[in-house]
Amino acid sequence: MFPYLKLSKEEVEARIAATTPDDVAAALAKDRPGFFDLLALISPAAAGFLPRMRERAAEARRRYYGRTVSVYAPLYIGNTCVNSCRYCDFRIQHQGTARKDLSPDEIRAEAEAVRATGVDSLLVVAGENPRVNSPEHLAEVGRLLKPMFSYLALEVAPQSEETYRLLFEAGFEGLTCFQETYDQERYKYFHPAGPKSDYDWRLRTQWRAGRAGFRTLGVAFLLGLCPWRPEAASLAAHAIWLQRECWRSKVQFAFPRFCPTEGGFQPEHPVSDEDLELMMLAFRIVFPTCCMTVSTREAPAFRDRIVQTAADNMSAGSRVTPGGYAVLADHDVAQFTLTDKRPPAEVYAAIRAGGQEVVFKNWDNRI
Amino acid sequence: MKPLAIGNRRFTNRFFLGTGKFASSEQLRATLAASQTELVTTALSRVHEADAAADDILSAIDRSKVEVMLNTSGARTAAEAVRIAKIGKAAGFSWIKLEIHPDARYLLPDPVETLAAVEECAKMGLVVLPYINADPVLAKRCEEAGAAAVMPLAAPIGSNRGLRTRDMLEIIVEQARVPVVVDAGIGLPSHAAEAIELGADAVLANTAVAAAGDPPAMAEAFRLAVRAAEIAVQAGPAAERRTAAASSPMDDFSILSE
Repeated sequence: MFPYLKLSKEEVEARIAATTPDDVAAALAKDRPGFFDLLALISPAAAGFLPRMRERAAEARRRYYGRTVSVYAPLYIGNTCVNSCRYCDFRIQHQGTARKDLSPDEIRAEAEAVRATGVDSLLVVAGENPRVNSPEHLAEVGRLLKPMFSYLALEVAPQSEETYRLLFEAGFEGLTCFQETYDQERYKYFHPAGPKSDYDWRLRTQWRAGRAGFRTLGVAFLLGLCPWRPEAASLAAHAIWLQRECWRSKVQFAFPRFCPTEGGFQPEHPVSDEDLELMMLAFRIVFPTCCMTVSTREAPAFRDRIVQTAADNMSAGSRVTPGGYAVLADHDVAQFTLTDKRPPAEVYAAIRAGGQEVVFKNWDNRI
Repeated sequence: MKPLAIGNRRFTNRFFLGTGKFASSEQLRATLAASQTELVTTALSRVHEADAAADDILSAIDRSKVEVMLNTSGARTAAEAVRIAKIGKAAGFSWIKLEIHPDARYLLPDPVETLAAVEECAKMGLVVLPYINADPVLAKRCEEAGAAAVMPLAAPIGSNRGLRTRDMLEIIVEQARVPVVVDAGIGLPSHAAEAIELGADAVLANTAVAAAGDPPAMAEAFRLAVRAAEIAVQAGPAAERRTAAASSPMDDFSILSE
């Protein structure tokens, strides 16, 4: 569990299991639902309330985000990695992955290809490689991309507060770091070696970035590694803790779900479409002002529906391969399998068809 | 509800009292006894701190049981408030309530001057409690500047209008990492109870008690109301879980360790 949560996993599970339909109805009726309401809304008892949860979440979403969906794209600048995450095809032991770290010129070419799709908000992603992840290199990437995009976010290995200050100066304003699992025992199992095996260092990543000035702090666990309900409770506690510690930053939720691939990692605790939707609705209801993104791992129909009720942000036309937009024509070195393969224009059209506006620019790096 | 501690002092009574506007020191003495308060505030501009025994306010207070927090009432700038704090510190008062109101009609606090004064007074090692408008961002800024607690107003001082700033108080309570003492505008014991029920840590009243027909009786009523609300919060109101009533905004930080 999230270590600063005073409740044990057993207490959380017992509370969830004891939830009655009355508790769910009460949580849905509240003006300001809190942590314990979230436990009710992710309980099995909440499954019968799905239509009401959709309405309640959509209402909260509309109140804070209006009829808009902001879009971004990830840019993978490298996939060499010194970690051993058992579920990831970027892990050091994995032979099947072609490795590629982009040069500054290649990064620029990729960025131009993304920019040409209209996307103005970029998430820079890399595997954990001390060379690629060096503060100087990341700062250089920031300075290179800053003039091209109105918003830059970062999803790379955890850095020190001092490095985050440097990177914030260089142009990065958002940070995402998935904890993968909040269960410390399972975390040890899934991350047996490499710098990522340090659970606590990773857990406080957003806190360090928040102190360094980052505006958006992304949190998530990997859906499929462990039973999702205690993980969701931990995720909520993590968000509440960040709100307490870093009140100037906003928290962004993501719900990355394993889609089992042939011969790839088979998640022990797969999360169904119904449970994923329930969880996203519950987080939207309890955290109405927090950002929420929906992954390109999800199918178009699911994504188009969830941006009506819960998510306010989605990627469009994602390539999860270093060089995937322009540098490489066709190379299979992706981190995970994309389900929504629609080109950006089709994603925008679907958002508009749902009665919402596509927002490309939500911030300006020159500010 | 967490036990109340401000600075390094623990409080068992969440009702604090202002000492202005009383008819006599006898009446103040009787009111203090009825309130059983452990914290009073008094204006430096009103007391003769050099000769406490002769002062009609200080002589009414048993300082072994009751903390005396000087306030800067009358100050219009941070510089004036800090001067008052320094005089108080030299006289042995380490608690200071910053009240900086350039506005002579409503006595509303100046946020810019107050924040600057919090920083200065905290650097001097004082236990600083700023009186502020119910502004959640200002409350956080004061906290970061070293305030030991924040004192947002419920309504204009002396107005007895109750929790007019309720929505903002809820946000302050939700976000604060230091105690929240609702100050000013509390007119009735029920207002004080409401403040505790919404999650405030303590309540301070003055006019509502001093200007009541029977101040000691009103002080007792406040003490009982605050205590009743405290017990209710600890008991966990059933209605919250079964109806559409607002949840206790205290809940969420209380699930976390420090």
